[in-house]
Amino acid sequence: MPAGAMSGGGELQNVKLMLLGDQGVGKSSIALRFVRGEFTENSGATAGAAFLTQAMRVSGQTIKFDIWDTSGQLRYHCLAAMNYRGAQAAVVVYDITNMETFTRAVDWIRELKQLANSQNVIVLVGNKADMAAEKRTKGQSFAEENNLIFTEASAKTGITNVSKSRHSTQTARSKRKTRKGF
Amino acid sequence: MMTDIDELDINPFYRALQTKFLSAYEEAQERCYMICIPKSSCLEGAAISRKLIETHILRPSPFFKGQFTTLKSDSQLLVVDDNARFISTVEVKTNIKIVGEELGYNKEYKPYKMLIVARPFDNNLLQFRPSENGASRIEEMPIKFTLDGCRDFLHKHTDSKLYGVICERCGQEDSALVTKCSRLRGLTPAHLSVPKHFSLPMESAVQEMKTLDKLETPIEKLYCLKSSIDKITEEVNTSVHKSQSSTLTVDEIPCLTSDDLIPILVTVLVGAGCRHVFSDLHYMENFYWLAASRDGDSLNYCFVTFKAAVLYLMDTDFSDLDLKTDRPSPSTREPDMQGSVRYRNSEPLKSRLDRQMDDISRMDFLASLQDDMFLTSGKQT
Ligand SMILES: Nc1nc2c(ncn2[C@@H]2O[C@H](COP(=O)(O)OP(=O)(O)O)[C@@H](O)[C@H]2O)c(=O)[nH]1
Ligand SMILES: [Mg+2]
Repeated sequence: MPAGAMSGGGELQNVKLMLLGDQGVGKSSIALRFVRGEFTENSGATAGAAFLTQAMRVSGQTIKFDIWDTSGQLRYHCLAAMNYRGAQAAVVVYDITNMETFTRAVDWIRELKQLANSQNVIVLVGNKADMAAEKRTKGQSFAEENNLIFTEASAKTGITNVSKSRHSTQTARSKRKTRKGF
Repeated sequence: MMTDIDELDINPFYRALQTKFLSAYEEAQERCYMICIPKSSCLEGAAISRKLIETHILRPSPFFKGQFTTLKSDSQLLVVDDNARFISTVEVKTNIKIVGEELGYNKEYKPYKMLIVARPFDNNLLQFRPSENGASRIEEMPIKFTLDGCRDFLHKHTDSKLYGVICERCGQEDSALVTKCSRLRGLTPAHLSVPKHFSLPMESAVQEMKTLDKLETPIEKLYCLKSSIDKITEEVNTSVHKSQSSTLTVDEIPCLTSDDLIPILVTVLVGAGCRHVFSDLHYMENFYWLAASRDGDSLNYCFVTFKAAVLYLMDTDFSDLDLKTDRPSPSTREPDMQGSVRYRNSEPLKSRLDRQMDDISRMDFLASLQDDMFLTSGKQT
């Protein structure tokens, strides 16, 4: 057993999670939810909600999430490799009231899949669910076709959906052994 | 110090001392040697080797006060600063910050010192285990590639020589930035449309950033970025706590996000006026993987954010900005915010600068650097 691998009797695992998506879809609001919401205990926010770490216990394993909110970091293509380096999970966010942002989300996912190892987890989040009268199906079916995890959420009205999207990330990680790539 | 007690509880180096390397630990205690413990955050994922342990147990020199050799070798000389704030390694000339101190007592109740240091004396002693469960990480391949190719080469050269060559090559960009920064003196976050409550002088962050010029190794420079960003966060938090009334709910208290951090960092860069920002970027980017940069993931985040701020500073035409007032440029006040100064609405785009950066970061940059280095060393000898 290598030193440092044990923490409170469980394996400590580091997951770098990136919030991606078009400007204005609500990435920072989702990050703020993590800082302010039920996840605040033991959370270390390095720079407000821009970068935060959050340890969680999931079925006996402690997972430490490093959550990257992005904005200007995505403006320059030459930063992409640095941004994605080491990322094991990406939450790609779009705004369900703005289909342009969905198209951009699909672009992100395409780019991620090119860069990513098939073991990485991508979660597609349709944000601003509070603004839609009826549930949209576009994201859902895209996610199904492409083997992604999908959830609708609202950073405004509640965190339940958002936390679900995070929970799915963990579940997906534990399921990974049986799943074949994307 | 509370933090140090917590630190030792979770420190893998300290744990290895108490278990696998107990005999070395007992010897050190018995003879009251000084034990330097790299703090946990720089050891994450690293295997603790005997060599690492033996390089960090220090024997006092019988001749000179403040000088030490390591348990590993008599010829590795270290100097502990009088006020015990730094340890300097004589061979490679770096200063390592002492971040904490603990006294222990041996069986004869004689005290021995344990110092918690900011990083290992030699980062090359760290071997990182491949991540458990085989989850391989995006983009690690190119790093390994460069590592194999360049490690030998780098070992032959000192940091300062390498840095000199980079500065020579990036001289133009460096001085362009210095000029731009001096022209933008007085730039405030408010000019870049950062909300009022975050538009603060950020003096402590500027002071921190100013030390960038003086630092020598890529890892020290990286930590400087991180502390500058930490200072920004502190300034923001302090000011928010002071000015907000207690009637606000948690959700209403302003919180710094990534969107504000980059423009604030731009103003800090302008205030600090560092002389080799562009060179520093390359130095850190191309060489910090030789060092242990696993301070969580936050060093990486700080680097990417810093680089985004530098690119933004280089790339933006600030000429319509009125620095005498505290107002954003006219274009940024338009409702659609598509002004040249605000980047909020910009898409990832491949600009000219971007392509230039891509070129320069590619491997041939390293290769040509290598040529330059040999030329330089040839000239000197
Ligand atoms: N109605 C609603 N508005 C939201 C939601 N999430 C974010 N917003 C708003 O959308 C705007 C952009 O959000 P922001 O988090 O800055 O987006 P980012 O650019 O992706 O970081 C802000 O005005 C938010 O208040 C949501 O779930 N519902
Ligand atoms: Mg944002």
